[in-house]
Amino acid sequence: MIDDVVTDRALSGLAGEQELVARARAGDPRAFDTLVAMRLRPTFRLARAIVGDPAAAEDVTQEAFLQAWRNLPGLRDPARFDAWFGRILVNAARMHLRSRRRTMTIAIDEVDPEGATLGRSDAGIQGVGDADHLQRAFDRLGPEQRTILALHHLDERPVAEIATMLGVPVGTAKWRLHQARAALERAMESQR
Amino acid sequence: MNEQRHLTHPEIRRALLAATAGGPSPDLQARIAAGVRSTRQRRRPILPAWPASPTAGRLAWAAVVALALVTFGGLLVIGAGGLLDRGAPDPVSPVPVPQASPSGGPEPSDGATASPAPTPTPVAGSASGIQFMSPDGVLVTIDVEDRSGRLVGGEVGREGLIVEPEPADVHFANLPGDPAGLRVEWFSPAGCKARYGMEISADARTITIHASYQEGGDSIGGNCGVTLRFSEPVPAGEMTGLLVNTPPVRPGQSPEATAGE
Repeated sequence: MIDDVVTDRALSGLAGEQELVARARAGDPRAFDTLVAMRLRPTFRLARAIVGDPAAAEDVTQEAFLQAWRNLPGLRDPARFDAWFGRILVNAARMHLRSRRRTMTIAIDEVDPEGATLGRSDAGIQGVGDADHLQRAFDRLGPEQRTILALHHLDERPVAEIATMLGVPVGTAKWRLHQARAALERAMESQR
Repeated sequence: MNEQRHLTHPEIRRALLAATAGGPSPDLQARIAAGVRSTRQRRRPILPAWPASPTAGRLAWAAVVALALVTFGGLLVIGAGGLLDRGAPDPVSPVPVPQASPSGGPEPSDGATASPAPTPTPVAGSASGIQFMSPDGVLVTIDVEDRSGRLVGGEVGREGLIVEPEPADVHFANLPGDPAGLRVEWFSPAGCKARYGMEISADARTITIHASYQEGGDSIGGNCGVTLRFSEPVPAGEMTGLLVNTPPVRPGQSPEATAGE
């Protein structure tokens, strides 16, 4: 199977991925294995940015890939796989956060007792401490805000694509992104 | 006091990359591969777009056309004395026929949402339905029973419109500049990949959504939405939404069988 994966990786680029999607859609699990291999790390990274916890991110990642496999025959255009799968991942992360919220309560104001000792350089976010500071601020955001920030700043997806993934108009996505950034900045300020 | 400085894209990206550094467990890929091999893909023989070969595509199209002809013929025979006598339907969308449920559904309660009712009322007798193709290419059917007699049409839109829905949430919003247009959105474990029943109360102020879903199904946790058009204003602020999840359907038992008592 590994050899197959390596061979399939020769199908580089978008056309190669579409070929893999078409094969997986037709029921070829090895083609899907290759898709998983190609997308595992960025998928996990995005899931982790949204849900925070690495173990939870693994669960979300696994769930997203399995949902994609199950529903792949319903994908009409292989060229839309990226946005389609991104949508599945975001929904899986939302579902996870929802279930977690029902079972756990986090007192946001108590999350970071040491945070006040971490200063922020006027020159910007440069050191590990500053990155931690920003990450803690990010953790205080709601899942929707974390999602749109991660999609745009981590996955570097354009707003139009994010709008498609979230099923909202482009203007709405822009507005939500703006609001999320503002919330992040406010969260940073509140830790100072 | 320092002025608040706006964060830049590189700053946010660098922080997120640092926070998400490190990969998943080495065995995650193998776990996914094992899951794939124990999971059947969902095939939808009615949908024509996905056949892998031209021959299969032609067969699928032929099946769809044949099914449509049979269905249309059946509707003509059954509905000739009923629907057609009432004149031409609204060209915009299906127009539900108001009629009371023989089982007498539960009266709506106050509050925007409610827990699942102990005995969900099926939407038996509903003569109208809205069908739509979701963005993911999934055919969704909503059977509408309008007890108010004020519903004049409906359009089913895209899923995924609620910002952050809670399970059992039903949200309402009037269309801009159109108080008689009502956007209804909901979220349920069934996602949008299921058959729904929708019941509009006699005063057109309560909408009950009946969702059924396959046990072990593969619904994506999206939310669903439909736009309803009434003959008179229906203020969204006065609306009450109820979401009733019917019991999961066992393999070999269709959702229709559960709801069609």
